[in-house]
Amino acid sequence: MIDYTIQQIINALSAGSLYALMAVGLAMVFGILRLINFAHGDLMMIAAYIAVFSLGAGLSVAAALPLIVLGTVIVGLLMERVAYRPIRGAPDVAMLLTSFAVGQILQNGTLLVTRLAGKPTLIAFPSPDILNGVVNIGTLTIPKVNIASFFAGVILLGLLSLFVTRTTLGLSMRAAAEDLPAARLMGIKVDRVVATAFAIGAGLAAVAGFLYAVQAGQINPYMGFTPVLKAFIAAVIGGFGSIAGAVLGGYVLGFLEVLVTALAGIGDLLPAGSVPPEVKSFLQQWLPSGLASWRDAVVFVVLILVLLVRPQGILGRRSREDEL
Amino acid sequence: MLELADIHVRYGNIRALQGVSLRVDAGQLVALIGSNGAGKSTTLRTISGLLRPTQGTITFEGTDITSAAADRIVAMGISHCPEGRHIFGSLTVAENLRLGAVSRSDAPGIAADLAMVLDLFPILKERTGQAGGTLSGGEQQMLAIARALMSRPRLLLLDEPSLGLAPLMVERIFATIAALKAQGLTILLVEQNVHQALGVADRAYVVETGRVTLEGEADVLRQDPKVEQSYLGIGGVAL
Repeated sequence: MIDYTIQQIINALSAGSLYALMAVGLAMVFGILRLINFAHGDLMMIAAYIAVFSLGAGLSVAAALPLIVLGTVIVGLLMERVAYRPIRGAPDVAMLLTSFAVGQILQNGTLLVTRLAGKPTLIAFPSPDILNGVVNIGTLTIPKVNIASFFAGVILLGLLSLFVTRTTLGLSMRAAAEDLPAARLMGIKVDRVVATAFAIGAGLAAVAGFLYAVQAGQINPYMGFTPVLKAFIAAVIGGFGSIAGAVLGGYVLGFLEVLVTALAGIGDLLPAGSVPPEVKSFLQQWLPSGLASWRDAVVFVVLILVLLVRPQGILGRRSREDEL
Repeated sequence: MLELADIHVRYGNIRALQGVSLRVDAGQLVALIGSNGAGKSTTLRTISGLLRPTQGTITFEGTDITSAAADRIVAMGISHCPEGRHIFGSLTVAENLRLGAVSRSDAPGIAADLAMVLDLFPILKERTGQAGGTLSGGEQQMLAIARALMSRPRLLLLDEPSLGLAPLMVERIFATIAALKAQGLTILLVEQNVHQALGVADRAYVVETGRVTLEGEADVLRQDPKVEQSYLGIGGVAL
């Protein structure tokens, strides 16, 4: 039972890390521009495709990873420069629709490239050996990719935290998110801050996309949609626009999903005699193993509850400073 | 030093400024007075590049800055301390001050100016690690002025620095403004406290519905019957 619990906690931390890595990218951009960038998920997809092509060309993970991150950051910066900068300050709906358009262009562009390269729409992901298989610690069996996801999350989010608290550019980013006109009066170069937010978000999405593809084992041009939706929920639960909130929301979401999956069928898992039979049958009736397939529904119910009780999210501020 | 010539600004269909012309000479303190919505804050926001005029030119030390970006205007030596203070509430006092100097790269100069503003407002020294949002209104105003000074401006735009402050704090803020002027800083001051503003200013402009309707030496304007009636009220109490 203890082993089972630890195993599930590790699963939750691993899933939470990926959600958090995605959610901070959404939160940084939203914080400054009020733009919900749904094309953020497609950056994950781009990263996965760069990974397929570079690993397929025989590169090692160590050689491919910088290429994956760099390529995705370039796409992220282009996205900002070409699509979002010209409509900065436009109504929120116009920016939201633009992000859907950007997503469509990236998905169909990728589809076109794979067709030209003579590949099918669904490609098996060539997971590198270093991330395949499991690690046995005592009686625990942990997939290597889960361990990698957890450490990627902790290390990268730790670095991000240092960046936004210690560097002038990081402070400028937080200032711009809190009060954009006042940030401009300080002489903060808003274009540079926005580009930095996109670049960092894309870099984190690249790592998340790579690990997500390893877990999924296959990729397609539409793979970014579910993760970006989950990341969006994570950011909203944590408090949209807040970086710390996005991280918290990511891990809350990870734990929530694993909790639902872990509790499903718990009655069958309990060894005979460990609990009274009435308890066992109660659990079997109310937490059947089929509940696992209701995971997303439970997550959305929690989202609705959070929005009802605390519309600004766990760490969110109620509203923006009055405009200057 | 600063010259606005026939500046027009629109907010959508609203014509906020309809031909404002004014001049601030080096070393002077010039006050903009007028009722709410007259266009005083809009004038400052236009100078600092947050708003774009549809017509007219702004010249700073001989350079046309009418269409310069806000960050360039700060780098050129104009600092704007906005109405409502606009402190970054989730950042510490030290971080707020650090961002005030974001346009500069001379580390020793920044350190010297930090010591200077902390000398000017010793209370901020005790609050450096505290989040800006936790300060009192008066402390936030001091932080806003200190932050604006961190860019080492040659021209300071001060918008309603006494708004919403207790009388004792108002006195302190005006004493600080006088001290900054005595150090040779050029200041363009927007104030609803007309009595105090004219007391400290060299020259003043009266702004009404987006136009300058009266201008002159502060001492002369204080005696002007129209100013007395509209803005000073009976017994010199500010509106």
